[in-house]
Amino acid sequence: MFWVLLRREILAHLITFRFAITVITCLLLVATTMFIRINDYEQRLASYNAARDAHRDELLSTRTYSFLMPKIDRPPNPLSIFNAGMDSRLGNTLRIYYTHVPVLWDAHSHSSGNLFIDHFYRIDLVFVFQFVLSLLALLFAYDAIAGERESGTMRVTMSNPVRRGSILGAKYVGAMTCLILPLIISFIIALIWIVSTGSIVFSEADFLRIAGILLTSIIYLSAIYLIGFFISASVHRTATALMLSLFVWVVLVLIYPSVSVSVVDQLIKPQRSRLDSSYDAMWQIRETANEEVIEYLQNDGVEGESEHFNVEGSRGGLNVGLSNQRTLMRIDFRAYDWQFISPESEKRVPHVIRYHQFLAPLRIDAAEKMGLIRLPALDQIRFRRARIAQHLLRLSPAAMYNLATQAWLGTDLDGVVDFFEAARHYRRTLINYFYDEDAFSSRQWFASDQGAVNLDDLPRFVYQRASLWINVTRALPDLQLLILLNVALFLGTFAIFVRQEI
Amino acid sequence: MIFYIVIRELYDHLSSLRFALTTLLILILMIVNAVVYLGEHKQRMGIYRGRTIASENRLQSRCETLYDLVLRGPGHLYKKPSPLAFCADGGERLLLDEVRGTSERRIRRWWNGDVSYEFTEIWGLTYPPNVDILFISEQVPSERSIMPDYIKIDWGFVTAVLLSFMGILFTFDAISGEQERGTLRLILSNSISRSTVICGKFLGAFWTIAIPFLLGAIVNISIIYLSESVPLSGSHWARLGLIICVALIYTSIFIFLGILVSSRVKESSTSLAILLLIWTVWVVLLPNALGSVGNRLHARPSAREFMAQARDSREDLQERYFARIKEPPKQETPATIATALGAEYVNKDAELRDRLHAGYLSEELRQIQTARSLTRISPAALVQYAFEGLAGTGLSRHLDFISQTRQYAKQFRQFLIDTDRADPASPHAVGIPEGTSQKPVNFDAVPKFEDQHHFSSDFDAAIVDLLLLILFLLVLFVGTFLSFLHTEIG
Repeated sequence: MFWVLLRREILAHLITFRFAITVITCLLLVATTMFIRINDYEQRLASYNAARDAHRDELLSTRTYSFLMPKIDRPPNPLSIFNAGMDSRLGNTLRIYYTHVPVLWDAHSHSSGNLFIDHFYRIDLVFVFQFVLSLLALLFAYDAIAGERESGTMRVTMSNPVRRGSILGAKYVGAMTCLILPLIISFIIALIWIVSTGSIVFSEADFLRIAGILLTSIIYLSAIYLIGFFISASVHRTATALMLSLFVWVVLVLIYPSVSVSVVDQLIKPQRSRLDSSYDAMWQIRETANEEVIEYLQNDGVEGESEHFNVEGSRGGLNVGLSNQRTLMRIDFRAYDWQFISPESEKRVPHVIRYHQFLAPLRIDAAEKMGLIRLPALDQIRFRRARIAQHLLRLSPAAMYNLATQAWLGTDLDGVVDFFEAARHYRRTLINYFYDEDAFSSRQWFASDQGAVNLDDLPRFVYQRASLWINVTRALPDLQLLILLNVALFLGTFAIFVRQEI
Repeated sequence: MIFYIVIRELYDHLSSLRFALTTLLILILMIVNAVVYLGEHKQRMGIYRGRTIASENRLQSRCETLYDLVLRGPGHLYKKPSPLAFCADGGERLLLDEVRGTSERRIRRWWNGDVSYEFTEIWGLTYPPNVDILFISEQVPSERSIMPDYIKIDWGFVTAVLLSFMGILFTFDAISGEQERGTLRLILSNSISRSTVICGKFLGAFWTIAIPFLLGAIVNISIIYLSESVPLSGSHWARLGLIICVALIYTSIFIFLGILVSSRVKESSTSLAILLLIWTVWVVLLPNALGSVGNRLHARPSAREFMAQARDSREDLQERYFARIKEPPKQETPATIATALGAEYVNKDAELRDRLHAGYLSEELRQIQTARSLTRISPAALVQYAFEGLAGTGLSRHLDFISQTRQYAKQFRQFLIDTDRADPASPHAVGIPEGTSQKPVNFDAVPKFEDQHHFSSDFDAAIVDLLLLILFLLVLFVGTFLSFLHTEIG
């Protein structure tokens, strides 16, 4: 009996006009979106490649160890075609100084985009499903029960020996089958398009991530369908069911996400006081380090307090002093490149070597200490609002869906922050490299008069996106919430339907 | 007769569930808008006032000698927040609100044998100010960049999304529903013309939507007006009136669309599905998708290319002048040839920088204008642009601000030259310390910048969008009439 009902449901949906036009619209939109997003990805990839090559050339032209300040770049995520998320919005190029622990706010953007273009909301595949297919789900659901009750067919069905549970089940499975169909077609079109461009190569893990998105999309559509189903079971007239479901749709999909984020943006202020106190603490650390340097220069047994120790020759160098109180950035970096040292000064060179042997670890230590203050402070000040906004957003299934897909793809905030974790790791690698090569106590730390430094062993930065497993754990909370919503709605519908008089 | 039809329609609608729900929604959104706006406006005005006062104080500190003023310029110029930002936010949080009229004081060295002389770069207009495109092409992410994307809840949003949605909800069964129930035949069997039926249907739906919207608008304005923190003048009320008219024109477009589809389709449910899809695509998806497409259509030189080009042309100018200067400028009256040429170089360089900045901006603008023109096939985008224009926010207002700063820069430069002329001891070669008057400047006489909101220029910006909206309305109006006149009533 269940199969008879199911077949009837599927056929009833498939032949409707609303099904046909929704599917056509959805496919057209998917095609448009794919065109835009692939184009966008290719542009960003080209920009990344250009920046990476320029930065590699810059690195290879380094002549002394102290001049090593490699610039690293974040490649665009090819999966951002499905959900752009934060991938293109945040900084994607970062300079690594051994005297500074980098965070997200130190990064720049190698492709300086058009400021005005940000006025357009970014559109991607998830955006299309979120709007168009969810609308189709509601259109399937609103008259599922109320409509049959009004037209009297429900009574006819019930006069057969059939349980109410299987009627509900058949309706649900039938509608979901008809919803999944356009979804899968869209995914196939998207994948064919991506594969045929040739510029985007997906790994197996990426295909699993895409499968994860498909799964999340199905759960989302089911949640929206069940909202309509629940409404349809609980009201008497089809017209009322329709109005209520459309109203709920507009609020949940369109209005609530914007209202909640804009209210958070307006009402929750960043804690500036924490900023000032942290900045002062960092300033203290820097001052202490500087005092130690002055003390060293006074007690080193060489006349004068210059860090050049009266060595004559031709000196080149670089002094980077950057600070930004709003991001607690404070970079003090000095690079030295003495191209020539006069033979008379040669006897003072050991002093210089000893000085740098003392100075570099001191600076590294100070940087680590400042990083220990800065990272948690910025987390508190700058991430708090975004996290609150995300939590509030979770009241809307559309936002849950959006966040879950971003997490699957690694275009969410955590995915972007991973890059900076990798950058900090690379900085440690660089410092270890210095220790391994004995760079601080070598003459090539500050002088290239005996030839430029050999950088063949320098470890290069390679960015690996987070593993699939990490993406799954990040997507899981939102996915669980969506599943929970599904179960609750289905049980609710069932409870109402079973007790109803037909 | 039409009066009775309208009354009947109104009565039907007003007692319906959809009316209650949408009215509630509009009211909630309008109240949220007013509350959020009040907080934001206070903050914005506070920042604006603080900054202008600070900027003026810095200007006063520069008045010690005329050369100081010539070198460092008028300082930062700020955009005044619009009091009508609650109607259309216009993405103000993304646009920049200052133009810098300062100097980075970078140095260009001239030398001839053993003699060298340093030319210090004088002030010019810089925008976007946080990215000095002539030197750094990089942008640091702002605190906001990690917030989830959102659309600002303003009148524009309420109109573009909600009123159009209501327009569809109240009309999708206007004809098809009556046809299904058979009441349409009944009406037409009386001596009522078809056009009367359409007019009745239209007016009924129109007032059903206009009433909650006007109610929401009045509540919204009352909250803002009674808080007494936003002064609204006569011209602001005129703008508000126009904005409400635009909103009603836009709503009418969707009412006609609803009647049109409803008269062509036999079943109400089909009519609703079609209308909802048209609505999602036309209102929600198209404006954003086409914005991204337009961005691609018009390629713009990358910041790196642009910087290279800027550097080349500046070096070119420098070489041309430095070849003609034979000795360092001297403090002599009248000015030596070297002094005059030096001053001319410094000024030409400042002009060149201004031109380069303007060029970069206009490239960016061409891109965004293409994108905007494309999106104009969606009335939702049109209504948004018209609102922005009338409320004095958004892109057109931003451009108006920038052109005002350019005007002001001209005026300021003229003032510097005139002040220098008034000093007989000066060699009258404004731009380098040797050639410029060293006398203090009277601060009160220095022209000061204040951003002005002009109704006429704002209205000009909105007029195209307004006309296009009216065009849409006429097309749909005529289409609906013709279509209904030819419909078979079964």
